[in-house]
Amino acid sequence: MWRAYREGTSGLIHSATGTGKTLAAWLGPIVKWMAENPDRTKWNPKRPPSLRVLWITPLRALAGDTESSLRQPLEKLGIPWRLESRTGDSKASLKARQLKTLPTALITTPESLSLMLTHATLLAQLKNVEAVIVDEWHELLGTKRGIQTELALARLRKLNTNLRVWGLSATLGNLEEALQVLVGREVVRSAKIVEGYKKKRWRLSSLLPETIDRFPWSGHIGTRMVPAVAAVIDKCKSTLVFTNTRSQTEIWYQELLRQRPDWAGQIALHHGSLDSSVRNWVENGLRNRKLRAVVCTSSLDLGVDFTAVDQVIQVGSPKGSARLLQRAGRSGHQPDAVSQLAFVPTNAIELIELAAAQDAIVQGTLEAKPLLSKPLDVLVQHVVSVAIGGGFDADDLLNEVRSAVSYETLTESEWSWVLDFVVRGGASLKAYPDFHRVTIDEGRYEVLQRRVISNHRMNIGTITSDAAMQVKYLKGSTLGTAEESFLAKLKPGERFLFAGRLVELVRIRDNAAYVRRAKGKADTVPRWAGGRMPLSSELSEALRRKIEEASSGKLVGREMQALKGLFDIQVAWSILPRCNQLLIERIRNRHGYHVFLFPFEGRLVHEGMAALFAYRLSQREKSTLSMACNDYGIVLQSPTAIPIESAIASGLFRAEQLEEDILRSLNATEMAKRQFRQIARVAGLIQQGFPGARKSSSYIQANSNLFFDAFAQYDPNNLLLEQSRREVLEFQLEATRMAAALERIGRGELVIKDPPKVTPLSFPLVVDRLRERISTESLVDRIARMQSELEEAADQFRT
Amino acid sequence: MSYLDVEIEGRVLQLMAERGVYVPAAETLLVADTHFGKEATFRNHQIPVPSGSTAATLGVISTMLRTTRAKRLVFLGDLFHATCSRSADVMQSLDEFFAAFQQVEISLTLGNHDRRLGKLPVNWSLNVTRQMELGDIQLAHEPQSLDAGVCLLCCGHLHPAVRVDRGSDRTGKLPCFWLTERQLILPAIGNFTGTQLVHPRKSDRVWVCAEGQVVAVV
Repeated sequence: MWRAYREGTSGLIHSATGTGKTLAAWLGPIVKWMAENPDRTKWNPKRPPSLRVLWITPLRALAGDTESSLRQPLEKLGIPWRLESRTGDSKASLKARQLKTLPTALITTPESLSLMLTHATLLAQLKNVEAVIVDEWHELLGTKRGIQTELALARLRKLNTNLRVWGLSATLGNLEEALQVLVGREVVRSAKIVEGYKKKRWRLSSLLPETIDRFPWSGHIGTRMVPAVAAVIDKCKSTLVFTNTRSQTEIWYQELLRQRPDWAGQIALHHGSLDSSVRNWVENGLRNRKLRAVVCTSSLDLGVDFTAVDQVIQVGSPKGSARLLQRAGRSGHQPDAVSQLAFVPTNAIELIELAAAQDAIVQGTLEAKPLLSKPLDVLVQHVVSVAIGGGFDADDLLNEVRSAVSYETLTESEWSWVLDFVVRGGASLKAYPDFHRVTIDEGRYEVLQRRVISNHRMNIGTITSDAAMQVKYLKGSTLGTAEESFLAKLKPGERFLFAGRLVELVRIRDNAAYVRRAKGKADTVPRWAGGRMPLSSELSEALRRKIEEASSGKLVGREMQALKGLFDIQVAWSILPRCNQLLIERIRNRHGYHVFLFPFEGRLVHEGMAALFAYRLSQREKSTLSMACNDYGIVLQSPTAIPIESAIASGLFRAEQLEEDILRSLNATEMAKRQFRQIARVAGLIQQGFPGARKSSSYIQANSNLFFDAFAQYDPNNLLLEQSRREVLEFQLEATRMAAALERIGRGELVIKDPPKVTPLSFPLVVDRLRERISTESLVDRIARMQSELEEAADQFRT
Repeated sequence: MSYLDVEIEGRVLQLMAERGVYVPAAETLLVADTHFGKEATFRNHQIPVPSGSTAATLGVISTMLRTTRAKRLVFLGDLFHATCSRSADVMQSLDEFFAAFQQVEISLTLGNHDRRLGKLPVNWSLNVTRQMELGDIQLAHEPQSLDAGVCLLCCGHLHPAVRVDRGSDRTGKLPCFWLTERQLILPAIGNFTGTQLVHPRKSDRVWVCAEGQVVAVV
């Protein structure tokens, strides 16, 4: 790698966590500088070299950690470099000094990098940067922050054609693509993929309950495993307990404390909605080895400095083998140490997932990170940034933007739409006289209004903070944030778990919820939206293969053998589907008619399929269906019989007209509106300001739904609307994956069974309370029905 | 054009699906929170929003005036969104509106957004007041305690909306008429205005506007 670096090559270093990627990348520029400056007597810390290295880190919370681990080798070698960070958390005085002279090496975030591009005065210094190193590239890849980084890199490459770009990444299924996006199409021919230390050993085991229920237990997310987990924690000095959602983190922390009250103060919890002071305290506790265990979410997936926890416990399926491997890598953080991961299933089928994940890891079929294609909202933001930072010529910038792989296919008309949008407010032929965000002066696009400049700088970035409200003690210290929709539903006096404590709501005022400590039992746990990952397509496929193996009686490994009883019942009442079969089970009970389908394609694909099936069924017959989905299948429920066989015969599963039918199904508009929130924010329609800061002007507040409606009504060709529809199809419904799944189903065999009772496969769907109703009733009819149901219930109550 | 006749405090009012209230006894149409030119305000702050919503709002009011044959129209406050809302196209739409309805007596009860209303074009015959009375119905922008001798207050300001909820089935936010303590709060009529969820009490009455109809909800 160092030789490649010296020769001016770019590349990507990948390996498991904790194998020294950071140091490998960092020594490249250091070794080169030492070779150029062999005379140590001339090294003068008072006159550090000018900017050479930009180090991009995905989380500003990691900047401090990164800085200290990068500083070590500098100090050891006595290198006179100035090393500093520049993030949203940096002091204003430091930032001001940096605007005059940047340090030799600067650690920064994608947002701060974009922000630097809006300062024309910095461009002369940025021109001389020798290398950009992007840490945790796998985290940024395939996200809008990744796109933002890519555009900034394209800009830096334009400033310095000899720029080296190196990425550090966990191992992915699509490393070639990851490299292309990082270094751009031009450079990729000479770029290198360097595999880091790979012989990291790992040991996976699962904690099996003493009896496997016939039915996958669900609901109380397996907290019955708490004693077993506590026993495992007891065996080691330090443990990370990963859960899949923030709510589960709160619950597991409480349950562990109830199991072992003596651990108060020795265990902690960590998730993204906690205040940064709380998180820092936990991170320091881990570093100093003062904490026995930390219950956490993916918030601790990243981080350079959690050297060697002894073991990792994963509660619930990680839904992807790459993630499982990465989390395992959080333990045994030296190249030769053994990673220990204990898996705690929260339902029986998850044991099959673990078995499947182990297969996938052994075979090396890790998940690919799907890429985004030319999101225009990010481009709009970038174009305004460049217009502020010195201005641009339209043709030059188009070439530069197209040099980024994600915008290779940007068309002339898309480009001119973007320019129109920032110059005239839209491609609608009318030019608005009072709108001039970006102005054109002799062919040069610039921003002149100070208000536009400062607003834009304040709103750079692509992270949408959800309508989050701070949760504070009456005395004023902040615990963290929860969603406004959750807090708004609470009444004063109601108790909930938050940040590992039981608190009660006192009042809500000025966008903060004030709480005090409470005693007794919690009424509720906050739900934070998002965070539930669907089963990856690679793991879905491995899961189908495991079930096929089981159907032929082959049970390999402890996990699969433990499930023998459950498989026996499934086979007695129905079947275990093979890879080329789609199992459909029909059951009628007092709640109505149920049809279960098992494509095993992950929750998002199933949600899209359920909406699609409901729409296609309703085309044949007016109905109200309710549905539920999980990673394995779908249930459709109706008060009347569902004519599934005739629906299949007339093309229920057809892959043709897929997009049209999804978009016509009732939920698509609602989903597009939700997706539009982020787009509106990134494209600068919604002024977010700093989190917690007072909004600039109440006169220009409008939520994204209003923007969506205004555009849909008065500017229907606005490309941002089209983008939100596309993002819904690709990311919320995974339409491409859905089409592939439907084709697979079409090629295969359908097996319809009428089991005597709810089968083990169906059971988790029956108990899943996250139901969505899809109805072809009109809104007015629906309200009328709800009203009458309400009255009926009240009548029954009276009699 | 669909409406619902309701009896409140012994008076019959027509709640219109287009979010206005017609008082037949006084031949008067009430609309609240027009926020004309809000989209122009955004453009003035360099946030691109297409025009069209002001004209659309005026179109809805015109239709209601024609179908009810109202002799009077009262804007219950927040006529314009802000001072910079008066862009050329917004003012032109309003000019046309006032010209078309010269025979209608038009009033405005001042709202919080009207504080810097300033001078209006002389050819607009708009009667501006803090509050007014329509027989024993009091008209104002914000909810407030009732004056002596009146039986009902009609006002706006809150942009009220509710969700209809039944088990797992829950609608989105629906703009509503909300009657609480002899105050009838009208939904905002402005095409580019938001709504705010309100939490009616058991003794209150609520009617939602959905798909061109007014529906009473419990």
